Amino acid sequence: MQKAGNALAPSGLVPRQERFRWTWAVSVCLHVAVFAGMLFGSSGSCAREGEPPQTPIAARLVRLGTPRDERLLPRLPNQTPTPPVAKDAPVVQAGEKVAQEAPVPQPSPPKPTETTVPSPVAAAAPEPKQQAKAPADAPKNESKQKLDDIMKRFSTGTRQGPADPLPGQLDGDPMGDAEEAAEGERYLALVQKRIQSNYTVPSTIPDEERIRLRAVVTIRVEPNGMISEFKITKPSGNESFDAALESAVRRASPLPPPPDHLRASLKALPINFRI
Amino acid sequence: MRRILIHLAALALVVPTVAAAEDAQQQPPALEISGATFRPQPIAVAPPIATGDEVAAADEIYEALTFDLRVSGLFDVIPRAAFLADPREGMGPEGISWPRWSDVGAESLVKLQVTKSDKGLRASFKLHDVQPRRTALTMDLDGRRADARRLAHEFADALVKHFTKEPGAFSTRIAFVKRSKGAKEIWISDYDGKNAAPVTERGGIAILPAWSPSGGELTFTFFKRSLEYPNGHPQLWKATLSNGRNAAFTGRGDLNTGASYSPDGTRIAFTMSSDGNPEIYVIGVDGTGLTRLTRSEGIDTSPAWSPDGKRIAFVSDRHGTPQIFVMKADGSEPERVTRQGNYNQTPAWSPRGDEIAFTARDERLVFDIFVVNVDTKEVRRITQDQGQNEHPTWSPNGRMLMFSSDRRGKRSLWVSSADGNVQQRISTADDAEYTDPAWGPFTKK
Repeated sequence: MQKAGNALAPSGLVPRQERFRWTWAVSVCLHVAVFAGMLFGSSGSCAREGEPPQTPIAARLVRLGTPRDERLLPRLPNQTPTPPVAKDAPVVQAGEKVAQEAPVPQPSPPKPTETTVPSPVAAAAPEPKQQAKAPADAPKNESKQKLDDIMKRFSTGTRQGPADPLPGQLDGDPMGDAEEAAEGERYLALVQKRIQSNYTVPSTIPDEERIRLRAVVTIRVEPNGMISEFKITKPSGNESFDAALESAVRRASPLPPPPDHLRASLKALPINFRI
Repeated sequence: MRRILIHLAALALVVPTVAAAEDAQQQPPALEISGATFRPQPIAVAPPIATGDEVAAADEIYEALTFDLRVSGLFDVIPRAAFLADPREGMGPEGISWPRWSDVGAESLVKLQVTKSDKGLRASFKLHDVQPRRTALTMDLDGRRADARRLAHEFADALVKHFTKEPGAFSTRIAFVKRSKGAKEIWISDYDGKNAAPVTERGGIAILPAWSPSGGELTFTFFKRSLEYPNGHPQLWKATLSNGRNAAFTGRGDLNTGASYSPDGTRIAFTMSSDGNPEIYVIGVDGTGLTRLTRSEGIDTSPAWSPDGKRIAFVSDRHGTPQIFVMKADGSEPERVTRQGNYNQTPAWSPRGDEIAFTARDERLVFDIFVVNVDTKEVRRITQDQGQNEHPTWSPNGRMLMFSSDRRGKRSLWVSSADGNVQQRISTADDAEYTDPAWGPFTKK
C-alpha cells in the first residue's frame, strides 16, 4: 500500500485515494448497520411487512340474543325444556318479570338502565314468537294470557317458566356460541377452534395434576387439510391426558385446505396443550 | 480488487442472515390450547356373578355401585342394556372379549362376583382397563348380608381413589330433617339414605343439623311451644351419636340457631339475637367464651366455616337484600361475595375451599342451588327448572352436593355431582318430607 501510494503520489492521484478510504468506511458502517438491523429487528418491524402468521385468537361466532342483565343470576343455556307453555310471547313474559323485580330492593350496584332491560327484550320478542308458534294474539288478551300462564306455572308446581333468550349480541349470528367477538389469523384460529372443540379429557385426572399438566404436540397439515402427522414432542407424563390429546387432534381432521401463505409453516405446527 | 473482495465477504455474511430471518418469520407461533372439556370416564359394570341366595345381595351391590359411580360425576356408567358381551363372562382378565366392551365405548370395566363367606358374604371386585387389556384393581370385601350396599360404597371409594388419588365419599353419613305429624326430627343415614335412624324424638321442631368434624356429635336448632314461649324459643341442642343422648347447649336471648363447627372442632359459630337483631357469635364447644363477630344493623345469619378455619361465610341483608358475605374468623374484613340475584342464603363452604354453594331465588321467584367462587365471584348454576331446590351441603371430598328438592312432589333429598350434570334422588324408607341435609365427615376406619 505504502509502495503503491508512493508510486501514485507523483501522478496526482493521492486525493483520490483519500476519497476511497472514506467510502470504504461508510460501506463498513452501512453493513454493520444492516447486520444490526437484521439481528435485532428481524422479528419486529420486518415481520409485520410480508404475510406472516399473526397470533391466532380463538374467534367464536357471537350468538344472536339479548345481553343478560348482569345483576341477575346465571341461567343454564342448554336446559330450556319448556315448549308446552308457549302460548303468548314468551320473552316478553320473562322481561316483564325482570322489570318488576329489579326496582324492588337492589341497593348497592350501579343501576345501569332500568329501561334498557325491557326494551331489547321486547325488540327481540317477535323472533322466538314466530319460531315457537303463537298466532299473534290480540294485545288486549295479553294480560289475561300472562295471568293464565302464571297460574298454570304455579298450579303445576314445577314453576318452570318459558324459555329465556340466550345471552348474546344484537348483531350476532343465530348459530353463534360466543358473547363477544375477536380477530386474528383466521386459519390458525380455525385450527385452534376445531381442536379445542374436540379437546375433552377424562374427569378422573387428579386435581393437582390438572394444574401442572402440559404437553407440546407437533402436527403436519397437508395442503388438502388432512392432519397427516401427530407427534407428542413433549409428553405430559399422564397417559390418559396424552391419549386424549391425540384423539382431539385426530377428530379435528380433516381441516379445510390451508391458505397458500401458511402451507410451508403447517408442515410442522407446534401446539401447546394445557388443561 | 481487495476492496471488492471485502465487499463480497460482507455481502456473503449478510445474505444468509436475511434468509435465516425470513425462515424464522415463516415459523408460526405455537398454538395455545387450553380449557379442556372434562368428560366422565366411560365405565361398564358387568352384570354381577352370583348364584342362589347371593343373587339378591349381588343385585343390591350392583345397584349401589352404579348409583355411586353415576353421581360422582367422574364416570359415565354405560347402561346395561347396551352390553354386547356374554352375560356369563367370567371375572377376567382371561376370557374377557375386550372388543365387545370397547365397542360399547367402555374404557374401564368392573366385574363383580358375590359368594358366601364366614361373615355373611364376600364381594369380589375387579377393575379392568379395556384398552391396555389389563387388571388395574382387585378387591375382596367381606361383610354381613345387611351391609351389602356398604361393600359397594367401599369399592366405589377405592375406584375414586384409584383414578383421582382422592378419597371417595360414599361411605359417609348424612343428617337431615324428617317431617312427621307437625313435628320435625333429626335423622341420620348412610349417604344414600339407607340405614336411617332417628336422632331426636322430642315432638318439637328440630332443624338445621350440623356435624362435628369428628362425626360423633350433631348440633341442631330445637324449639317447642310452651307456656313461657308460645311461639317456641329456638335453642341450640347437641346430640351425642354414640349414646343417643341429646341436650340443650345454649339458649341465650330470644333466638339461637344455625350452628357450624370450626374445622378443628373447638368452636361453634351460630346466630343469636337478644334485641331482635340477629348477629353471628362464636362459642367454645364446652359452652364458654361467647364472642360476638358481626355488628351491623341488618340481619346476619347462617355462618359456615371455611375448611381452613380462617374465614366464615354468612348471610347478611346489610345492603338491603340477603347476600352471601365472607369475613375473617374474628369477624373482621367482611366482604360481599354474591352480587347477582336479590335473595341468596344458606351458604355451604366447599371442603376444597374455593367455592361456596348457596340457595338463591332467581328472577322467576324459584329457589335454586348455585355455587360462587370465593375469589373470582363467578356464579355457577346447579339446578334449574326443577321445582324448588334448597339448602345445599357438600360431600366431604367436595365432589358432590346434596340438597332438598320438591321436583317430584314432596320435598326429598337429592344428590348431585359438583357440576350439577348428574342429579339423583336419595331413596328414603317412606314418602315423608325430607329437608335440611348435612353431609357428615369422612368416617374413620
